[in-house]
Amino acid sequence: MSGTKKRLTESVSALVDGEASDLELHRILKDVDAEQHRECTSLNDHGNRGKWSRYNLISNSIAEAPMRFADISCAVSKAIDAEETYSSSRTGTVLSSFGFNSFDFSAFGRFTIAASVAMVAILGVQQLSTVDPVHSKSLQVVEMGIEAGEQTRGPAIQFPADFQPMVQARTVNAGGKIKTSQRPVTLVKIANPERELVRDQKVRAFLSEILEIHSFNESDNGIQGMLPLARHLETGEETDTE
Amino acid sequence: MSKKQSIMFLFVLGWVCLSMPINLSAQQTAHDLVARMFDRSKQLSYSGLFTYEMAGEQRTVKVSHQVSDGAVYERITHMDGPVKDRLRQSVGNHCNFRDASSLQAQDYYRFDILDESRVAGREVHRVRVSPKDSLRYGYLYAIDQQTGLMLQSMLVNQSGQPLENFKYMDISIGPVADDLSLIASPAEFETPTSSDCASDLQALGSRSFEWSVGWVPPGFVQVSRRVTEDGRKSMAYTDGIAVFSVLIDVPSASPVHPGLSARLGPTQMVVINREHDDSHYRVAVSGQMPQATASRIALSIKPVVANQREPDMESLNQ
Repeated sequence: MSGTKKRLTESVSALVDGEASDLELHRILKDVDAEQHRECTSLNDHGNRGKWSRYNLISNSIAEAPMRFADISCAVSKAIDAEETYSSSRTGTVLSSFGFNSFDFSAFGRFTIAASVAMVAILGVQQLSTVDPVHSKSLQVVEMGIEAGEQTRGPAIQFPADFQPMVQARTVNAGGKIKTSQRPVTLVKIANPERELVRDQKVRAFLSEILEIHSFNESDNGIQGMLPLARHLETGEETDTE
Repeated sequence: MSKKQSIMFLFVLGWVCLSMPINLSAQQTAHDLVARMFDRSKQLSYSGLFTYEMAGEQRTVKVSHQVSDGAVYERITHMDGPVKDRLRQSVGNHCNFRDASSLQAQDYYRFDILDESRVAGREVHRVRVSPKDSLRYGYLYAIDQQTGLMLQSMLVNQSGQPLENFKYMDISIGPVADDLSLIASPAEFETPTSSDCASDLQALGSRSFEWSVGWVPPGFVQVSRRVTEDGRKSMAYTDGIAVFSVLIDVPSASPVHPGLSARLGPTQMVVINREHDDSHYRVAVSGQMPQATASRIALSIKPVVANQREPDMESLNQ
């Protein structure tokens, strides 16, 4: 007897006594499975299935239990094999009748889901890339409601004014075979105060004066030549072509 | 230390010694190029065509900048849309009491020469100016190799997104006789709406109180003060690269409108209301800077009584 067979025999014995480890059980089941594929006889005295049966007979005789024993495993296997396989997809049956027998519909389903995920991802990226950091050429204003005590501490965070992080995510199924894909939903969004165009004439006039004075200050003290005037060209007066 | 380790150590030490002067030299050169832009932009006469792009809109502008007898005459003409012309004259920064080009901008920005390129048909150095903190923006400049004039400027925020792009498409450097013909008469030119420097000082000193800017980003210093003809006071600050302005409006009996923050392209404006002696003042800060910076500056501006007044311009000159 080879060492492997000897160990398997000892493992079967231990299993009958209820002392086999998980590893031994795994090894026995693997061997029994291979043995069953070779031949499905009622009992093979040389195989582990035979040993299992004999050991149980011995054990039952010692325990004075009824000694009738029948191995029905082969019969169960044959019954399962003989069972008709039903298709889960009516569409698949219809298409099969048109000669699409070799078409793998599960692969098609996976492809459909993957395509929809890719489309959602592309839409998400487009949505992100169309964020305009500057918003508009027009004067934009947001009421601040600034109070002295509130602000003398300075900004708590030092993000630049245009920094507007948008965190987007897709809901996904973390387990199982169910694959879902939904439109991106915004999970975190830094509060962006509602902006509106300056319509108040007094405010517009004052802002225009601020820009004008700043433009002169920049020209006189800055290093950028004509750029300050280029920034605030709108303050120039319209003239006739004549 | 083994012989092999000693050789490796000497090799590394030598490499460090050799590379350091090169890096320092390159950084110094980049800063020099940028600092020289200040003088060149005021000394040179030139005319050309530039594009200015912000907020997804581009405009093309024809410009003439002529220096004559110490005065600068500028003419700007829109090439797109409604016809707009702007004439401006300045006689130098005579009200300024500190030379902005002398500031140590290297302490607050990193200067790097990226490469050489061509803009408007001229050879340029491309220089990157990156802020060392989050209180200011960064710039990408293309500087003419021959004259030191800036031919392109791109302002970028902290995320690296461009907020504006200014670029010459064509430029002729040097006085052009034809351009002088564009100047109809000196009376047509705008000049800064301020009184002369002496009266500025007198006006500022005669008031019972002054305004104090309690906080500015490190490196910014005040370089000018003006009082407009209608009594508004303005101050300019620079760190050698960026400029921001402070405007104190004339007093009113009640707040004209609530405090607000507005933006035109890369220019941020913050207006707050201050009350002093039963009068209300609009205090504004304007500049190419993040909103948080502008807000913090604005909220640090407070009226102070005479005996707490800031040193005047003469003392700052010394």
